[in-house]
Amino acid sequence: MVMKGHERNITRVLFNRDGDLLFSAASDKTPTVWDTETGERLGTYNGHSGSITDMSVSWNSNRLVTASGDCQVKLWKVQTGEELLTYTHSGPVRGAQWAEGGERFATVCDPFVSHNAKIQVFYAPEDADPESLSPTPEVLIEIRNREEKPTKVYWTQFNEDLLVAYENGWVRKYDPKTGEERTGEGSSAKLHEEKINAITWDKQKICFITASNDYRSCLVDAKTLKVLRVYQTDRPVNGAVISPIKDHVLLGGGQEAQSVTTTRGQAGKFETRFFHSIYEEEFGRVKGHFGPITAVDISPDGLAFVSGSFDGYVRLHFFDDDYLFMRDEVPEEY
Amino acid sequence: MAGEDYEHHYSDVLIDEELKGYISEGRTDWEEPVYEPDFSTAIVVDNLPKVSREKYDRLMVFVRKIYDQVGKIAEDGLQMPLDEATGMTLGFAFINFLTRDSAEKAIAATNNWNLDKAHALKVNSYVDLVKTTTHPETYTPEPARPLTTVPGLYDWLKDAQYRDQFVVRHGRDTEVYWAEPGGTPELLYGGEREKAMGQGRYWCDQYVTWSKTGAYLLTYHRQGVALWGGPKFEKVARLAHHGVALAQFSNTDRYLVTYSYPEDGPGHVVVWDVERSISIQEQVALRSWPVEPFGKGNHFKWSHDDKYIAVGKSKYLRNPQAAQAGLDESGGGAAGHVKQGSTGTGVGEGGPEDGEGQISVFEAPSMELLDRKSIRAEGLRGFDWCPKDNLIAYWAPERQQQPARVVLVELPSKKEVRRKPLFYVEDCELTWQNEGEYLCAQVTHKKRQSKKKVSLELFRVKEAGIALEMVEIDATPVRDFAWEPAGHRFAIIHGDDANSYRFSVSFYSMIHPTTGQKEVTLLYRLEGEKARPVNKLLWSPNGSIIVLAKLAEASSLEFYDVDSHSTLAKRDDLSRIDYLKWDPSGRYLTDAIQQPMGNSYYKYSYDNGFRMWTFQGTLIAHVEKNQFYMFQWRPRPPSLLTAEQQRKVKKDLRKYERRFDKEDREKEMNKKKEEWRRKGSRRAEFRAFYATRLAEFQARKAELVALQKGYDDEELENYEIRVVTRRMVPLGDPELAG
Repeated sequence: MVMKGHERNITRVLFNRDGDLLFSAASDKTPTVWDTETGERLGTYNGHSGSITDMSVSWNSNRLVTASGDCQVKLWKVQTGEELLTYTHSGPVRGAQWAEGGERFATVCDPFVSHNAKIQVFYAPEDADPESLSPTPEVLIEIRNREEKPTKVYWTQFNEDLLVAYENGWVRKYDPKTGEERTGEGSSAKLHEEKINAITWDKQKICFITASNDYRSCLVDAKTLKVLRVYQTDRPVNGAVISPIKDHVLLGGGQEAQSVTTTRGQAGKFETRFFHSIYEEEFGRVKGHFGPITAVDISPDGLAFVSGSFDGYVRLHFFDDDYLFMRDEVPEEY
Repeated sequence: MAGEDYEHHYSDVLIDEELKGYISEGRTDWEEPVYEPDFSTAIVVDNLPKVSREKYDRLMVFVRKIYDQVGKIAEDGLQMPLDEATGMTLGFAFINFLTRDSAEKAIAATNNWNLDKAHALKVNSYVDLVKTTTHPETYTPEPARPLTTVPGLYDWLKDAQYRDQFVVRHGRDTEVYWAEPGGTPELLYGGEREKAMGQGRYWCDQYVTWSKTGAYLLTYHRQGVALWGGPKFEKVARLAHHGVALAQFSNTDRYLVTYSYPEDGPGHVVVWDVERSISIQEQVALRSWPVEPFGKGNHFKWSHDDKYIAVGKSKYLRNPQAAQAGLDESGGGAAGHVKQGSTGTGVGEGGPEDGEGQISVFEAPSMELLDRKSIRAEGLRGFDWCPKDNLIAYWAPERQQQPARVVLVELPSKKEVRRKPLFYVEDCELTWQNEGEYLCAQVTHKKRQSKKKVSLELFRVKEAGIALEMVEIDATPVRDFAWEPAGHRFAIIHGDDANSYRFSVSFYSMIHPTTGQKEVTLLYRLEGEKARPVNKLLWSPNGSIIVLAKLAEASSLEFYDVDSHSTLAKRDDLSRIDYLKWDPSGRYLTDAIQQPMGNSYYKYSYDNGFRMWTFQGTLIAHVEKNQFYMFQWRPRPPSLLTAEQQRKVKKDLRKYERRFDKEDREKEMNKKKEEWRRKGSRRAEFRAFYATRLAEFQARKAELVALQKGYDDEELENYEIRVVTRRMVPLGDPELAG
């Protein structure tokens, strides 16, 4: 199913937890929500004046936060599209994520002029009166080292830590209550040689998978930050997800946008790649896009996946029986 | 000589007490001007005619004329002593050049050069001459050194499964693999020994190449080349040649020719004795030439038995490098991507004005010019040795009153055994069949009427008198020509349908298929509807199967069985292919997408790697590497069987087939099981880890439920349950069909 609603390159695609809603964001300022089953466009969230870089929907699909290059994060009511509050940041915002339970969300923004890069946590419980919500952060972490640029922020299991990904391939953990950087074993790791574009979790937040410009994805133990598996491709990876029902991971990527025109369309490899998550071997690809894949997500029931591309299209794929009944190549007795 | 003037050292004068203040302590980085206070700029020309006083001046002028072309002669630098008693010259002259370089060039260019019939010049450096004359008269033998032999140079041929090897260069890695029938190649050696030395070392950072019979792997380095061999790829020799850009082995791997084109000086062609270099562990260079008269091409060719090396010289001689770059094996040399230089003429073995063309045949290893005379070949444009006999074929275009011609010369007699005059020739290409039974001269005639005509002049070399037949090709141009290895057939691509880019392919036989007469016969032609997009022919080394390839931005491969006129497999829509080659046994075809070394902004930096196909066109391996520079099969030494015996083996092939099939299958199954065991244990280990983490999660799950205000994802009552039933219907079930 192809969903055409955006005018610019897609930056993020996202299922809600029930998998009935599909959110897409692009460089065109208007995040959109779709009905997964019919592909119908349910609505858009209008208000941003810059491209959307990240978004997150709360656990019960009531609230949406969107981060944008216009230095703003906006809080929306999912069902009505109503804008509840704008959080103005000191620089372009790169990431926004809800904590478990949806009482707080965290954001990262870029350094801008004299402002340092910041990681912030905002308190925005769903049941509070929107009028009473505060646009000032509960916790603020400033990254004084200008060489270190955070790209995305995530919450670990039970909201224990903030997990921040950096442009130089590092991930670091912070205390979400005090903002202090964690120290000791398992509190930071250099996972990649280049920028980490995105991180996604498995259902229980035991492992996460990274997507990086160094052509690789890593499956990482969230507790120790040890790399469990590495998936090697020949293009920058923009998005990666873990299948909830199979030992598979899905990687989306493609060469840099500026060099796309130098190769033929089909040579660009604008395909979603399937890897066996344990053996690290690629076993399949799904074609369709005309530009590099910029975002992927898999439905919580593992029966469908979605990819967004530089070409502005969102493609929703339902797995066929061949895939769903496919057995592991290694017989169980081994 | 100027030697004495500079005897007291320059710095002695400079560093006195006054000056010390201006020079920082311990400074060592200043440069002294280069003086050459020895006789390295001087040469001795011997074996000149002995002339009387009257002819003295004329000879002086003549000698000066020769050596002025090489380099600048110093003032009063030419001296020809006279014998006071007879008033005759002594038959030698001293020449002092301004630079050592010119002196070296002069020696290289004019030593052994025939001034006339009676006088072949002997040119030596003055320093060498002094050394020789001061050499003790009695010979004291050097203590004998043990000769080194490299064990197991050909051990890879004894592989139980008769597998072949290949080398790849990518990134900083140089890796030798075994080709496996199952696909995924097995790494044999990837420079582990060099990497273990630490300090970021690696095997080779430039191109590499196999020797002709596969005995050695040659690696290019800035200072020269290194040869590796034996089962562990140990270094067996190092040959120093600054700025080396191309190295070519002789046919039996006994000798090596290296070419250098350094930016900062004159290049050289050096002939090395590889076997001796290895056995005495010292570099043995047999001869060197300045590279200049030869341009950047390979005009040095070895006879099949390495007895002779032929050097073609003519301003018309084309640089084969241009044609070879890319698809040919020798394009793998470091020079494969060097820009073309000018093919100048110059002072050479035959004299200063020999732009006319000649082939000089030298005997190896003495490197003496055979009969001290080159073979005249006016206007020489192309030449090559017969792959099995000491026979050279060359061609030259029309000149003045002389028609163009293809000539076959027998060595060492230099007898012309066949000469075929040709008219209105624009171009000609000589192709030997690999067994040396046939030679094809593909002649493109000048445009008359509307079309360029092409004729194939086919020589039956093994027959008495060398019978010749001619085939005219109407649909031109001919885009490729290929002999069937050890066979009687050849194939051509021809025709000009530029719009559809589809061309005809024709198959001919030198022997009539039904009568068995020696008669060139057109077997059949793929034309009209059957014309295909193709620009390259590649016979399997075993014959019978040919790959009809289109190598372009969008490439295609077709595996075609010539005997049964049928396509075995066709693969369209492949991306740019720039290397295509059969393995030596004809089991696999590989194509590779490579990028030139040292160009990180190359247009095609994606998709690089190689693919391996069976001869039936099944893809069995596809390896992608980020910076993929080259792929090369390890050649096998030539078969000891004659062409006739090979044909017989091919007939009896079925017998052998079954045995190999069984072995392959067993091996495949064992590998599969091995892989399952490995993967199975990884899976078990991963699952155990996950189970631990999941138990940890379950123990604390209440915290998450609390965060979600009492909502538990896993409580079934929170879900609306739909049951979907699907029934699998087997296709073609008669009960359900109705």
